[in-house]
Amino acid sequence: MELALQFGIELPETRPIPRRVTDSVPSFEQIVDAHYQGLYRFALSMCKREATAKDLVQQTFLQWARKGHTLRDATKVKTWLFTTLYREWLSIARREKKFEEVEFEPDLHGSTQNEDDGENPRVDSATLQTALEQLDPNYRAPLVLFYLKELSYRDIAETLGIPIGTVMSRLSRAKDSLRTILRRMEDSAASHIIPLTTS
Amino acid sequence: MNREEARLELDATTLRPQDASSEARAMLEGDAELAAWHAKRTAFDESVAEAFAAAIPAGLRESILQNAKRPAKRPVRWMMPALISAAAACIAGAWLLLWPVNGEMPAWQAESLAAVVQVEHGMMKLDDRAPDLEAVKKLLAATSSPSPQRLPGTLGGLPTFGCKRIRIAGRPATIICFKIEGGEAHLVVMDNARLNSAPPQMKPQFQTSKNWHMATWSDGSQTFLLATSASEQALKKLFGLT
Repeated sequence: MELALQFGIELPETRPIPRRVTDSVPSFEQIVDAHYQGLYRFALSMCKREATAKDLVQQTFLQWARKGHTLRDATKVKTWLFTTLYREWLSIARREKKFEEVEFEPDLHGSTQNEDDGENPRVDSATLQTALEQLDPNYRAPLVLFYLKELSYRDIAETLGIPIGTVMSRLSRAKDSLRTILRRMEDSAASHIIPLTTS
Repeated sequence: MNREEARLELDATTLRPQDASSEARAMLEGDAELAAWHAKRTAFDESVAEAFAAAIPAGLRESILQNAKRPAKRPVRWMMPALISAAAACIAGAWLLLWPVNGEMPAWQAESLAAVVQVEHGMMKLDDRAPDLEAVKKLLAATSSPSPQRLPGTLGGLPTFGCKRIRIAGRPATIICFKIEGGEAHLVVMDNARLNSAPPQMKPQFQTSKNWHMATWSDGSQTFLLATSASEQALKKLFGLT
């Protein structure tokens, strides 16, 4: 319901997913209802194509239908789904050579605090998508997962297969970059406004 | 945790403050500059999260559920046990079709024939191996097991595989396996004292059941069953009848 309030979308009614290892895994339909929207948003942000994003989500749930029963910890369903989707996307991106692994830059770790004066830029859905597309996938992936609010930074690290420290530093740098891009877009839009004059 | 580490952790938890460690939260409370930065960052993150709303394609949920209803390879999980069960059923069916024991036989004969079938198909191993009847008799004498005192026709002169000690109708019995023309013949011998439906003395009774041919007779205090899956002619030849 929290997600519905944030995005202004009415989600299907869902039953809570068990939180203990000893609890049984919820039904397939319950899992779909709980996660398909978040997965789709993550997929669309990564691949930028609606049809591919739909395929990625479909493929992820098909994998779940076939292999989900091997998951012993019911609390890991969400992480499993996002991890699977990310790996599916990686394999597609690598086939299309749109993704290159970027090594973590230790010298940048923890040294990313930009000058943060001024107001926060205004943001809407369209400008946000445009801005996200300008980010390197290595930064875009943790940032999108962060804004989805589905996963903790620890879960994001597990999903992307990178250390927790790397997630933190990439998030920080990605937010700085996003802010800069949004402000630049805002400035650019403002410079194209023709002031109205009265005669 | 130093200030920079706290800042990174707080930055990673603006939208999920419950994930921040108590150490990071404590630093936030004691550092006005960090608190101001965090408040501004949180406001920015909340506005981005709110804008992060891609429309969900209509029918996506339904198509996911539809596709998952036919995961093509999944039946393998139940198919293998089903195939094994079907194969076992076929084998059991074939076995029943060929099983020669029937309800019309006297109990001692039914038990004897069942034991013979198991010996022939290797389901029951011989206790001792010996090349001829004399050697077999020595082995049986050593354990006081039933041993034929007299045999009809040419049977006593045939090579043997060995013997098996069993119990038939609650009494000790012995199976002696002979090599005959076209296969094997198995002789069951036991004492016939108080044996129900013992066959007549010195007059072999020939019978056929499924693919088994057998002869039963008594000789003094002993009763015999000789059975083979070779031809009826081969069996009768052992009694000098062809």
